[in-house]
Amino acid sequence: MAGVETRPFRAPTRSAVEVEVELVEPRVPIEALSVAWEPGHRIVLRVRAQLSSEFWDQTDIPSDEEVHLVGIVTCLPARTNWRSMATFRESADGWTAETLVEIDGNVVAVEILADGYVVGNGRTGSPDAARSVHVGAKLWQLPQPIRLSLEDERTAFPTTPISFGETGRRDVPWTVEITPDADPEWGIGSAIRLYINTDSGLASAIAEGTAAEDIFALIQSDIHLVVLHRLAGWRDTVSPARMEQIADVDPGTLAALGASIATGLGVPLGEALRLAREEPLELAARSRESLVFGRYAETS
Amino acid sequence: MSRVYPQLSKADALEEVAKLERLLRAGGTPKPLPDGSLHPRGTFSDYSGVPVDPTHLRTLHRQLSDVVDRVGGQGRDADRRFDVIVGGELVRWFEQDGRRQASNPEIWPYLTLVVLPDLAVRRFGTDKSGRLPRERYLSGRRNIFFRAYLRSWILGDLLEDPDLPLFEDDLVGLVDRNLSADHRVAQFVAEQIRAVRAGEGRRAAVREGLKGLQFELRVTDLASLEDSTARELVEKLFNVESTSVGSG
Repeated sequence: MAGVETRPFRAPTRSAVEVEVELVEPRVPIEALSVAWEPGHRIVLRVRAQLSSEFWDQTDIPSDEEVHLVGIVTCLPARTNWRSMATFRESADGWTAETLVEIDGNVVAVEILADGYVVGNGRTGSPDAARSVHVGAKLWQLPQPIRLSLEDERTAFPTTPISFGETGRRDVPWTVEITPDADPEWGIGSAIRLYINTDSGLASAIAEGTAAEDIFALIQSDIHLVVLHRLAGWRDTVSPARMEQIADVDPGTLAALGASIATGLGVPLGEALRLAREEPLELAARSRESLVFGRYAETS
Repeated sequence: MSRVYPQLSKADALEEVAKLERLLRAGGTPKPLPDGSLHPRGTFSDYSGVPVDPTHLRTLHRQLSDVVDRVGGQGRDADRRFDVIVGGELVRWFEQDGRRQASNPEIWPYLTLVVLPDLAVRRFGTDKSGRLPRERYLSGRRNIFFRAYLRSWILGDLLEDPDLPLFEDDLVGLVDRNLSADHRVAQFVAEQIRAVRAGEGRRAAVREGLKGLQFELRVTDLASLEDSTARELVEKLFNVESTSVGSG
């Protein structure tokens, strides 16, 4: 059943206003925001609206009176909103307005809601001049705000871009670090992390996924070695069989990552851990072989 | 370089609540980061900064413990002072570490259960059957520290005014009715709540005012009004004598 709106002023019909919302930064369709947006980066939305010719009659507002478009973006978890306004002007395209809303990427989390209003002096119809105008009336509003998720549901390997010069790391394009206390039951998200050196010319290509395939093969190989080396350190207290049990119960653990790497190398987990401890170069060679390192250039 | 805070899944957070209950039943004292390191099940799902380290989290615990020690006492007034003082400290802390982290409701269970469990238990301890109030420890706007943080962020200095006779329920209404995204209106409303005289009709008057405001926000873009006009309108809503909506 359609809802009946009661407003204390003359409001236009639903079809008297058309609103479009689009992303300007990052420049992708609204549905793709969560994938394209980097936390911390600003988000800019463009809100455009057009009034139909009936708008003025329906609201009883003279067309020489200013009516505004308000674009508003709310982040409820942050309890913050951002808004901007533009005045409707008549042109060859009719009565239009357009405004940009800039959102602080350092504040928002989880999701944002984009809304659009048409605001002006509503006419109440009251014969009493003092009560005939409703200042700041929301004459029209989107039927419901547009929800834009900020959470990228894809599983990405924990990665952080950082200056190696400023943080006392070796001058290499990347490094894989493991939390010193991490045991086989730790979650991958807290146990291991890829750091990309922002001082390196390769940093942006790695972060954007445009670096050469061999670079990614080497990064993956580093992950193989680091994970297996760490698990090998636990071999005396947590047997490979027990590690496989942990992996079966929770695929998000370090043990599960190790088991999956061993499978990729074509060896049992116990053998992969032995290689990590006793024959690290053999393990490195197996890892690179499994990742077809050095053969991308031949095939492309 | 911004810091990233760890998160716990709901299942892991529930398990931590149960562990905390067992510890309290056995007469133990909760300790921050009991294993001396990050929680093994914590995850850093945000890749925009460096994962926060245990030393930094221990500093947060120490700073909050220091301010909480000044609260003292028991009862509703002590609870209110706890919320105000902890909220203010968290706002200052996250000004340094980035508000985006604090905006994410999912970081708070980790802070509550792993980093600040002794302070959490002090504010919301076990009931007669030894259970902790889950909603105060898990993710959501009722989490002890998220709630104190949000109130302090929204109401700012008003909360630290020792004479501020804002009742707990009024505050919950203010923060949870989503008025809080518009901080100017939230401030005007806080002023009005403060101005309503204490006595039998106070809560009813405040509730009526908030109800009126909810309606007003549906039909009026308060944010586009001048300060004086918006303040006048909010004043009218909290004055039960007045029923006027528009202004001339």
